[in-house]
Amino acid sequence: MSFLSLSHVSKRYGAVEALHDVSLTLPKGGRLAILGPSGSGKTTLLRIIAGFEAPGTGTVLLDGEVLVDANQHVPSHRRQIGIVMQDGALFPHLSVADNVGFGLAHGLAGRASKIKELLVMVGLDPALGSRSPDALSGGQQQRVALARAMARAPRLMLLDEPFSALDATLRDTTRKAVSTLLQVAGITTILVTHDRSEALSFADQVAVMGHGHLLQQGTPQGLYRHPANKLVASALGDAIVLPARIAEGMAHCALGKVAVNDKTARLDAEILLRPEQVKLTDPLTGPIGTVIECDFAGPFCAVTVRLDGGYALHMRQSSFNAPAQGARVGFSILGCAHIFTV
Amino acid sequence: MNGLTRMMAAVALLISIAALVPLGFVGWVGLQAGWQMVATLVLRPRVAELLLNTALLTVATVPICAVLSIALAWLTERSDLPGARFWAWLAVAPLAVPAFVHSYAWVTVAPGLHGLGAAVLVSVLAYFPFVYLPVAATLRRLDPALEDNAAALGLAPWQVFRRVVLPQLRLALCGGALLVGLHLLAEYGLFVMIRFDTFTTAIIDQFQSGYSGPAANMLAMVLVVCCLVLLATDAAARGTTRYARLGSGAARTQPLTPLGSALLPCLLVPVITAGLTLGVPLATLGRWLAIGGAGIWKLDEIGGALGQTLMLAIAGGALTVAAAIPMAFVSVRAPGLIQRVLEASNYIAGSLPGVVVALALVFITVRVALPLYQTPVTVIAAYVLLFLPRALLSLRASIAQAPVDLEHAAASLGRNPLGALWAVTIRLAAPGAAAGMALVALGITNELTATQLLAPTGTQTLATAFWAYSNEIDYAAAAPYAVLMILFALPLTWQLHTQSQRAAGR
Repeated sequence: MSFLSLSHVSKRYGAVEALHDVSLTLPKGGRLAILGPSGSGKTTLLRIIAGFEAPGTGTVLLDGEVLVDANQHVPSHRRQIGIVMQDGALFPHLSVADNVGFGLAHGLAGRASKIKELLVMVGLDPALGSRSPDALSGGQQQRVALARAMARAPRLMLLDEPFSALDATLRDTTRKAVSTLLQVAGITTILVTHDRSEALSFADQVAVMGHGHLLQQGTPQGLYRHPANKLVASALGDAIVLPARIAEGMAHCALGKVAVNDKTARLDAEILLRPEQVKLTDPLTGPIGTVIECDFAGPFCAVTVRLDGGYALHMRQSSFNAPAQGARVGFSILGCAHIFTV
Repeated sequence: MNGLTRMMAAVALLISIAALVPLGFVGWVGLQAGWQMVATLVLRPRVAELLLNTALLTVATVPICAVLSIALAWLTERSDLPGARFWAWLAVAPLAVPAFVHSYAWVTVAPGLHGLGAAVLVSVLAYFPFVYLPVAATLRRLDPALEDNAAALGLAPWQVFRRVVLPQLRLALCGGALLVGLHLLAEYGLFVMIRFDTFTTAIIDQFQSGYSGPAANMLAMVLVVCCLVLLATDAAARGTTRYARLGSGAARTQPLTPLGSALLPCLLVPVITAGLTLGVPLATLGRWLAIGGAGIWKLDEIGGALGQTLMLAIAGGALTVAAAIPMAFVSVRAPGLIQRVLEASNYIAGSLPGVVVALALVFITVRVALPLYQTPVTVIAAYVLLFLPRALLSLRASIAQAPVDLEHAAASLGRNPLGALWAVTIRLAAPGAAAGMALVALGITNELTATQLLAPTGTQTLATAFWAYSNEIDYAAAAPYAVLMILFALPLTWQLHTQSQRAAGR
């Protein structure tokens, strides 16, 4: 039984179709990352779930309750859905403690201690409560925004690129802290992001969006290894896509014979290899290429190899055994290639 | 501080000292009179009555202006009201009608109108745009993410408005309310016409009925205290809370709330407001123009008043802007505590009622510079003191946009400091200076009290001519002057409107 389910949700802004027939489900306690470039419709989807916007058509159900369908629209203040936005959207006229306590009733017994608990829970010193939000760093502001959303024990937590305004180190630590916290609290969560590593490490389900369409939903590993098409494949990581002929249980392509996961014979297949599956070897057997570019980037080198057949491949190679520009190289393949089903 | 800045600072200091003359005058008069005299002249029923009038007027007018402005601002900025831009412009347009023309119109429509109720009605209609403008601008710039978050935290729409939107409007409301309050203290014509006594009307009464100097001066002292109380209340009400948006990036554009079935009653709010604020004055003027026919257009007389007004407005405007340049320059280029105090003294002087400034100048010219009494020099000096803040605000903003690097570049290309200032900063600040000059000129065109008290005998401006005719109950003959004042002011209110629209990127 799915906890959150969206079916056939569409939304237009004038001539622009922001969402096209999106359906997705999420089990209770699940963690879904919605991944997509800007303009792909992911934030619109989140705003529809939060109730800030109404879809043109489609239904949204949460825990068996209809939030939106053709006849009704539960306003956001009755949904009990928490949200943390890109830059926190803290109320500038209220102190940190008043921000956290904003959703708590004023007469609530133990309100002050509850606010302190929440601040401690998100890893902040309760003494910060009397400060004003602009006295906090970006990471601290995001933690306050999270505490504020957690105060009402939301049924569902929406995170709208909450880490993207933070610098790289802070982003990783804040993300881990938030992730652990939500997991411990058992709160069903949706994270919207355009950062693929963030999506893969945060979620147990990933949905990839592009141009208002939900392209594919699945586990991070499943989507990474077996994407439905090239868009999904490149959304989740660097991809080497080659045309191939499948025969005798192998793919025949520019890299020679490669093992595949689907052995059905086909003439016009396309196969996917992740760059880390391809190792450069001495040019002994099989296809051979020439290194045309080798950029040093510290621990690895970004190597571009032009196959004698004409294809150019981009891959990473440990910088300790990186080939020199102009070197002749051969290839060995780790594991199976994935065949796109058309 | 380089030589140029030091020179500017010296001039700014002199001008700030001059700006404090009216305050000094009030203090000096108090000291001179001695406690006994002050007590007899201030602690009397008449002063208590005037204080009560002023307090009641302020307490009634300001909240009504606030409520009306918030309602109109919400309707024009945040709802799907049809023709919202048009109604927004009509909410600013009443500023083009001088306050005393508002009450002239109402006295024509309802001759029995007088007392507190009438004073509140006409004051609200004449002054609410001072609150509407900042409130609408703030409402437009609010980040809707805050309201989204409040809704996600379980607040119903009305609670969101009360707990998130309204607190964000606080600075705008304070600023607007202060302006309205200061105008209520300073206004003369509006209240005389509907027979409501305030300190300003009483002071001019005293002054004109046989020049009762000490009595008028004591009333001016109480008036200045009222003015300082308003300024202090405003400073306290502003508080120290931060309202600027946190975080980076641009805010999402605001969704418009559909009015649905409430559309018709909502539409009545701007329609009725525009009817009362613009319809009544325009219809009245139209009626008097029709009644007066061609006979009221005494072109030589009107031309004379127009010429004198233009002369005073242009000379006063140019001089005020020139006087504001050093202060604006110093406060942008070398900000510091002393500079802030100097600047604040200019603003305080500018918030004093015209009648106080006029009395101070009368007092000083009569005592120490009699040849200057009732000459254009004195009246223009009064204009400079009264309208310096208007010029200062416009200039500051535009000088701040001319970076000092450009002046340095000009210096490296061989200009001396004054030459560089003139070639770069003054040129770049010219639009701001022009806007400031226009604001000052408009203020002078509609100025009544200081002009009446200080201008050379025989001076006739549009405002004083209008006032003279309407005092003789020759309302028809007064109408052309009112029309001319409104025509002068219209482009400026249009500019205020578009400026606030542009600030929000519309």
